[in-house]
Amino acid sequence: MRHAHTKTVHVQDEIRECNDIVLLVGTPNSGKSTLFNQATGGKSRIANWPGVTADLHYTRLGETCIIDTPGVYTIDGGSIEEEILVNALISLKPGKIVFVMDGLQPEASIYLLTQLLEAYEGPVEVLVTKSLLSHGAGIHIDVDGLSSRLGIRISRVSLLEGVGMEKVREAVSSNRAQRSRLRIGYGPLEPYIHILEQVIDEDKISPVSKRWLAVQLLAGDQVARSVASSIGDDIVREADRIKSALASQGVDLEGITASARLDAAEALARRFVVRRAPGELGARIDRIMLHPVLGPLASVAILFAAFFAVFSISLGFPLDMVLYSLGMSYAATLIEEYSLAGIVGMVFDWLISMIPDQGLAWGLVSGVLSGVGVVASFIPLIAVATAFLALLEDSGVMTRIAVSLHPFLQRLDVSGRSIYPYLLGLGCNVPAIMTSRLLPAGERMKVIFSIPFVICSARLIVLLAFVSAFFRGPLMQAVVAVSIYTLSALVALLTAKAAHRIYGGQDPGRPYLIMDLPLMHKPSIRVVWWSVRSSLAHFIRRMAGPITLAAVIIWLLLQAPGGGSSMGHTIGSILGAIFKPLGVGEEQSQILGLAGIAGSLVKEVIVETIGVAYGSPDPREAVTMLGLTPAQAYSILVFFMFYTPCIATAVAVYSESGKPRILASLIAYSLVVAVTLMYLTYMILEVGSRWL
Amino acid sequence: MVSLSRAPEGARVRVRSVPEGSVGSMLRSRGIMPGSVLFVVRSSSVAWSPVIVEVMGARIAIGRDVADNIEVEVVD
Repeated sequence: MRHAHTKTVHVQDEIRECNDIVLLVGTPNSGKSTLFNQATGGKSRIANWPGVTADLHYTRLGETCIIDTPGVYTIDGGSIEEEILVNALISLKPGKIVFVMDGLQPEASIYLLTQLLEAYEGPVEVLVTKSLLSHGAGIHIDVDGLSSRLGIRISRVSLLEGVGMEKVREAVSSNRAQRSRLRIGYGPLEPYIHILEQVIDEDKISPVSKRWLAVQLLAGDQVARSVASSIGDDIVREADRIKSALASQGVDLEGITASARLDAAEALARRFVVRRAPGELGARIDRIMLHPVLGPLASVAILFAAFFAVFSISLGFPLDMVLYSLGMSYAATLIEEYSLAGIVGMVFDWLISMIPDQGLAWGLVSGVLSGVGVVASFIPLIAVATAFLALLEDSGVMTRIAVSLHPFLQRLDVSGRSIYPYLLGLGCNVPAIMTSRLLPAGERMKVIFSIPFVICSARLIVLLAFVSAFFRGPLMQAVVAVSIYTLSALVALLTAKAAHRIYGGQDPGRPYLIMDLPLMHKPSIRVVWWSVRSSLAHFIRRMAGPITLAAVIIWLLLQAPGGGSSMGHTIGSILGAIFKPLGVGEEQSQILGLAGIAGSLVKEVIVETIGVAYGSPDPREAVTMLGLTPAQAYSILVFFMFYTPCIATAVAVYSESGKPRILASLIAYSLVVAVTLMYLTYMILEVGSRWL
Repeated sequence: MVSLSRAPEGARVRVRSVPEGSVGSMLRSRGIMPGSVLFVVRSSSVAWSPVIVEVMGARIAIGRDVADNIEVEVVD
């Protein structure tokens, strides 16, 4: 309640100078946000998840202020979004409402519209979105018939196809909108509604209708109750008196009002909406995706195909691994070199090689260039990952995946929708954290906090180097690799659970499934492009600067002034002290510490740093030169998997959570987890090997 | 009266009661409340499979555990 109220007051301050206020109202996914963005020239994401607009977004168009309200299905005040809408109606006193009707779900929109027309007495204009899509889906709306029955203007727009933009601007600015003449009858309740109407002062609640307020009070709506008590206690008292009188006669007030409204909306929908059977292809896909056994299998297959495609296109991984294991190492190298990140890397290597090798200027320029190179290498990855997510989302496939995997993931306290971010995390944590944006706030924090413990492809390079250097035989190597991935899954799940305790708020513990299934349709390339553009803009505006800065700082730390020992070396030997209890020698500890510092820049540099320290061009050979026992190697590997998020991941966590406190606690927590697990695994392995 | 998870596929059912709390208000906000009529699009006896209903033209997937706590009566 208080939450909703502060929002409304805030908007009120912002729009004080507006002559006219227009509210945009519609169901979730109705295309309302798209319409808002197009009418105002703003750029914002659209997604297939309900409730993308959680706040009131507003903009000015001349002297008119347009306010985009959160998508809702009813206005009973049962959710935060509904409260925001009702409060906006009462306290902002909009001069007009532009109602956005979802062309793909006209029935739900009609239900909301009838409630809105009951509640709001000002002029209303209706825009029907997704016209072409709905036509393709076999949905036909008799716009003229509905318009004359309700007595308001209704017109079609199709934003994706760019049809009817002038209608949008016209709807916002014209004076032609009309007041509706819809009236829903409540049969036996009518005399009591009339009594309550007598005690409500019309002027105090205008443009909200007093008849609607009376009905809501009888139906037990808490928001209506607080509105009524703010204009006079006698209204609430009278309502309570009538309610208790009727309750003693066994009258089900909530039931009567709900079914009167549902009947009225259903009657309109039956008369003015015709549905033919959905498209054959969509229905066929649904038969598989919603099948209890085939659905989960198909979902896993689609997700892995998407994962494979995203990372092979942008990094060359894991296609290169497959080619290597088939003995086609030449092809694998080609794939790595000509992946999008490979090409970006080549450009930056070439740029650095062009700088004359001398003095401080060289140091600074190449430091900055390598920082910018780190940032640039993420751009193709983020673009491709977002594009695939947008394709899956816009077509409606992602919702089916979330629904079919939900029952299994629910057991792990993870909802079906968070599977895409977690899976992306296996490739790279940065896009994984960025795509968590489509999750509800409560779940998002636990995903953001736990994704850094998912082993990404950069850490896989470290893992493979250590495994092949210190463990003999393919079976032993596989056991080690699988056990480390299992450990990472355990740590991530436990971390998610802990993060939920701390940051979850009022979100119910176990995720439950109540999810709209949008109709399957052909994904629109424009929607995909909007998504990619928006996440790249976010990355470049909010994240590129800090990543470059951090990269330059670490790079400078590692540069030795005048051949002596660098600052990085000093810090490295301090960090190296934690390896000594494992019985690792002085020199090795220092090298491992230095590798750890360098690895906070990008994780694969851990192996490279060890290579440089031993002056060996082959990193795997260099790792072997550390001369670790299997127990030492395993526990140090555990440390390197978890000890800190790399700087790009850290910046992503900071920019998505918006709180430095979260990032600081994540880094501290990672370090504690990594050190504890390193000592624990070492002790277990040492004791175990003595017993064997 | 049966729970929604036991209503047969293809049936039209009227909701008698929905659970309290956040799950209930989530259901209400989707138009699933006492009095509303649902069409059971998909339901199977497999223990984990969600129930898919149609209400006011929208298709909604409901987890088995949630559907167990929605009481309905079969209309036809």
